[in-house]
Amino acid sequence: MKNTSVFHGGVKLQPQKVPVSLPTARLAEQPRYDVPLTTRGGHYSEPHTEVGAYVLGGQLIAGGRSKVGVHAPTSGTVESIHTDEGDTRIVIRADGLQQHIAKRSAIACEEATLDMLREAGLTGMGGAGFPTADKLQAALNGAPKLLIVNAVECEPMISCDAQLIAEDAKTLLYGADWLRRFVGAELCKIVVEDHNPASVEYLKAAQHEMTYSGLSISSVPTRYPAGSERQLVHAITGKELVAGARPLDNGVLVQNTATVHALARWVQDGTPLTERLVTVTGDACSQPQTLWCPIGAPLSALLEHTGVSVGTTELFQGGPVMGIALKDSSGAVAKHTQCLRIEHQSAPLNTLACIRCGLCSDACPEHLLPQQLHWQLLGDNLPGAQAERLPHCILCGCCDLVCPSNIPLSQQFAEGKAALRLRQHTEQRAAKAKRRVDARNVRMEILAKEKQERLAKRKAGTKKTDKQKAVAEAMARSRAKKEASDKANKEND
Amino acid sequence: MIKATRNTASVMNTVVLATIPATLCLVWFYGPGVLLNLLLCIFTALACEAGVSVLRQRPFKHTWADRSALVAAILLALSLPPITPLWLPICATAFAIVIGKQLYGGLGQNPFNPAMVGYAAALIAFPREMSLWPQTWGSTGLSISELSGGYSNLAWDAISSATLLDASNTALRAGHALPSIELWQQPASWVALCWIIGGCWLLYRQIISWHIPAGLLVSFALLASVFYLVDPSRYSSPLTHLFSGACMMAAFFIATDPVSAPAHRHARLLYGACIGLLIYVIRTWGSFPDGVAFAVLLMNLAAPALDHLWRGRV
Amino acid sequence: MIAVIIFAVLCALAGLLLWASSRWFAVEGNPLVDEIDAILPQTQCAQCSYPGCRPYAEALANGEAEINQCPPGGESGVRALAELLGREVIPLNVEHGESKAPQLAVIDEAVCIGCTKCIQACPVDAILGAAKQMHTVIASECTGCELCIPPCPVDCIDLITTKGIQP
Repeated sequence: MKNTSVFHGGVKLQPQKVPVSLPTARLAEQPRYDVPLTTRGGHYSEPHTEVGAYVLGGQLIAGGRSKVGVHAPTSGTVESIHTDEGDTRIVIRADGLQQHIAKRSAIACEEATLDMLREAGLTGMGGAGFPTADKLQAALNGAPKLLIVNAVECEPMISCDAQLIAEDAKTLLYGADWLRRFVGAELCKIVVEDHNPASVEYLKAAQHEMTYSGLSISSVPTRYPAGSERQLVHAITGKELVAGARPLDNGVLVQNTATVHALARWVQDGTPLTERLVTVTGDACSQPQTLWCPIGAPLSALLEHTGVSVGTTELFQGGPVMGIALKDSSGAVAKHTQCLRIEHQSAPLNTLACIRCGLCSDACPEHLLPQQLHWQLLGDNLPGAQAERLPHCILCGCCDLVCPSNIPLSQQFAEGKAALRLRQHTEQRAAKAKRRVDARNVRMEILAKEKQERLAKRKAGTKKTDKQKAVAEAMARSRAKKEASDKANKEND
Repeated sequence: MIKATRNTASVMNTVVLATIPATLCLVWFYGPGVLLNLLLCIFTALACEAGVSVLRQRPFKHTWADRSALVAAILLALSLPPITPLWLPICATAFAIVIGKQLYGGLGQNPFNPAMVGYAAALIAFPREMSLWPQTWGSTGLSISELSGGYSNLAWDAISSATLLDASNTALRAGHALPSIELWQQPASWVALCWIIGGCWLLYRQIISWHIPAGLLVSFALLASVFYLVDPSRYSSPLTHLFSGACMMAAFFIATDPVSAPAHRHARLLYGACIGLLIYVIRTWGSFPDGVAFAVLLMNLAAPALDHLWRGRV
Repeated sequence: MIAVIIFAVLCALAGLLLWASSRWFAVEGNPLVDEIDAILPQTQCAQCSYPGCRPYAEALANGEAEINQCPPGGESGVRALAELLGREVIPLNVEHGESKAPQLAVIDEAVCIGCTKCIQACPVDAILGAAKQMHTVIASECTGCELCIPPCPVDCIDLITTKGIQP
């Protein structure tokens, strides 16, 4: 496949976008919301509320200070705080009044602190869900020169960024400018895919009204995975990130469009992150659309809203390349949920053996050799897989797409990465334990030697006369005491 | 689930289609013996795959489905002389499929090109039968039974014809100058042209990448040119070399077998170049008239090492 | 005759070369013990009936022990040892204990009397404390070997199963 874009590898896919429609649809008010307290990366926020408490929409119910804030999506009563398989959620029964906390006036970027941003509940909304305040902390230390607002959808079919830009490009630009000044970057670029010229028009129109300095709009060729941070930085700056390096190491900060928009809302009037755009699509979806969903809204409500066609269907969270299959629709919208797909049941994959065609290494954006990784992992050779740089695999799935034998490569790599991490962790702990055992053995040897020396000295006899002397002195002291007390008694009589 | 490209079975189908021009050309020149070989090889290949699958307790339809045995059988059949005895294609194909492919674990696991394994084994085991190329069919008018090896009764001189490479080899050994056989009079040149047509179609359909054919042909032509310029009487011209024997077949169909070739693009260039070099060396200084099979097999040995050298950036 | 002499000289030269190599490239100690020790999980629990991982490694190198005596290493440990030592893979010997999920020891501070018996028993010095002072297990250093549990006179140490990766 010919590569016409700047970054290495990648696959050209049909966008299959859900059309942008204004005004943006909104999910109906739900009777209950299941708000998750753990981010996708496992950052947990302690609940601040208790069962039975009444909360307003936007009220802090978990986290804050050093942990990511979690807020109630609407007003209601806390029904329960339950944990399922290590995943804690607060269930809120909505009262239907939709009362929210009071708004405040805009905050200047000199007044805002990272703790405030953390309390605002901001996390990466492009799929990773990393706490934004932590990322910005690293940014403030790294002094980035360029801020990239990533409006390149991470996968085909998703149109959250396009919908957001169509609806509210002004707030997005406000947020981008504020963030640029907050981190001290010179330039801010809002990047869109080139198959989406409408977004560019909306952005240009908004910029025309506001005229922010240092803000520009650019587009990159549509090629999966252009939405991936590392590939996007390469496409925009022309410099490829060294394996293991982050964009901040090259002076670039990348933020997702929805994150910047949520940040803008919080800056403008104190609205925390309580809702997001979710694309619902798939070949079994009656009305594919992108709609506003409160965080914690049940996925079944989304399906009901858009309609599902008859027949056996499968549910996926995420796009067609990296999406994961869901057991059922009992989950809820989280801060990182971008897309929900309902597909007709597909025929099972007819997987053949690897024919070593090499198409996978041509497609890999990280210059890996997926074929070699595949063979190493088939043979359970974790050190071999590590030598082939398995930890650098970004699980983009390009190799899956081009493999003529339909081998589920990225699934195998995800399992291999987990096994490798566990193995490395076990080895580190074992090495630590070994060091401590060796140190303890040395200590025990020293103690034993000292004890031996003491015993030897005692045997040599010097201690005996000292002891006799001590006994004699003690007896003399007690005799003196007795005489003194006898005297005192005689005087008292 | 979206897929961006074709699957293995359809790739193999396209390769089979690409061999049709060469097949037709061979039949035109040498008669139905070629088709007989094809039938025997294909049948044996599928039977062997089924047999081994049953032994491995797998469904043999699944093994047939990837069509890789079909491709190996066709390539082997088209490399064999058209008048081989009936048992020869069967033995060669059985060796190729069972030992050259299935014994290593089946599809994707064989380190050597199965068709070349079969060809080389047959060449070494049955050198006489493997080097008897007849005159064109039109001039000999052999019957089908004679085409299938019943030539022991015939006067061999009446039907055999030296290929250009054969003749060059013999002449040079005897210390004579190169024979002056017109390049376009020998059938092999036209067959080579058909292989080029098939190969270009494969390139167009992006079934094979240009690296191996380019590496092979460029290095081969370069080496041949150098020696030809030094002494035209002892070294054949590059054009003669390129259009004789199985050079074009190797460049587009045999060396490009993905399983036995390196995976990385740059490694493939070097792989192709080394095959070209080896073909020339064996042809010029080796005892075999055509060195394609051995050149490919030798470089199959080196393929993992070439991949290892090109691990990608660290 | 000359051939015999030549062969004899060649053999003598080869022998000389081998002797020189054995002197020049000699290795201190037994590196096999280090390799075995690197595979063992370093829990130092003595469930293998040797007082620690290194003595077990030495016994394995000398051929005095079987490869299936280490429960914390589990099946994967047995397989790794089998591959290293060229022995057959055998199932874990349950007489030495079961292969359990990773665990940590936790001291109930309300019950602890400060006797230091557990501190002396811990093979990796993972318990912090002194006589008549509060004892506590440093979670990041504890290997879950269970050696601190029998000596405790008030039975105040519990084992909890750890979920996921502990720091």
